[in-house]
Amino acid sequence: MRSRSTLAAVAFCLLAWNGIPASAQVDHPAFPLILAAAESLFQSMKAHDYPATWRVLTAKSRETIVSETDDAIRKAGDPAVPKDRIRDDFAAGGPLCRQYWEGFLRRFNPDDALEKSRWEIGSVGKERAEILLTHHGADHPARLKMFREDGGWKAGLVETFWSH
Amino acid sequence: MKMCAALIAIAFFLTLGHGAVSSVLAADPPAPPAAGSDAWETWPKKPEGATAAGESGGAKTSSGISAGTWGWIAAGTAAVILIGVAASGGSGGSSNSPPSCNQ
Repeated sequence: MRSRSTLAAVAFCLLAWNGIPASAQVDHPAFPLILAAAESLFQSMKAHDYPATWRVLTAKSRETIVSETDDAIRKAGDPAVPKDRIRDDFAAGGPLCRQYWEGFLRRFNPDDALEKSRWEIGSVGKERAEILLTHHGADHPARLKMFREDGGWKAGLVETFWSH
Repeated sequence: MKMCAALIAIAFFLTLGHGAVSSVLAADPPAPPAAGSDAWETWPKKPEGATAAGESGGAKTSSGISAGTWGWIAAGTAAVILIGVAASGGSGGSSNSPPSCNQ
């Protein structure tokens, strides 16, 4: 009998703990920084401030975008551009950068995240965090992965969406 | 009378047509684009490599954000179809009344 009540208590604690994170982690000291970084990703896209978009991306996202742009340039038969120059172009908001993000925004509306999604904090760790973005009418959220890099929080655009 | 109306109509359209043609002829012909310029473009224009890469990334992000939305829309559509089928089935049942010729 005693073991049953102990089990029930443990189960209750587990259930309660499971329900806590989304609300309790709002008080996490890093939460405003994480949220600001995630928001600035979509806001800078919307404002066509592509160097700002670039700055808020993780190193892995930036490198993947550079590689994919390089591949696409070769595939299209356009004049080859060294990867270093592609990287610099993205950082400076050059012509390749504008072409990339204008293509990106043809297929993705930042308001889908900013206006048409419910934002909730998921897990928050020292180096990683997740923001749950539930689009209006969607049955499950997208888990925007955030990473702590170079002393700040960066958005894992590729880490979040490229695996789908 | 009919002939008169037809003649007036023909004269009217000829005058209009002549005016349009003469104004086109009077205008300077457009200068051909310089060789190698981008003035002549194929249509639809082929997306440049970077644009294509961007479109691919945007599509992934868009489908990731709205994940499951189509599931709900499909479920809703299916529900509406089922309700429609059920309703028509119900009304079909009421048509099992005896034919009027038996009355």
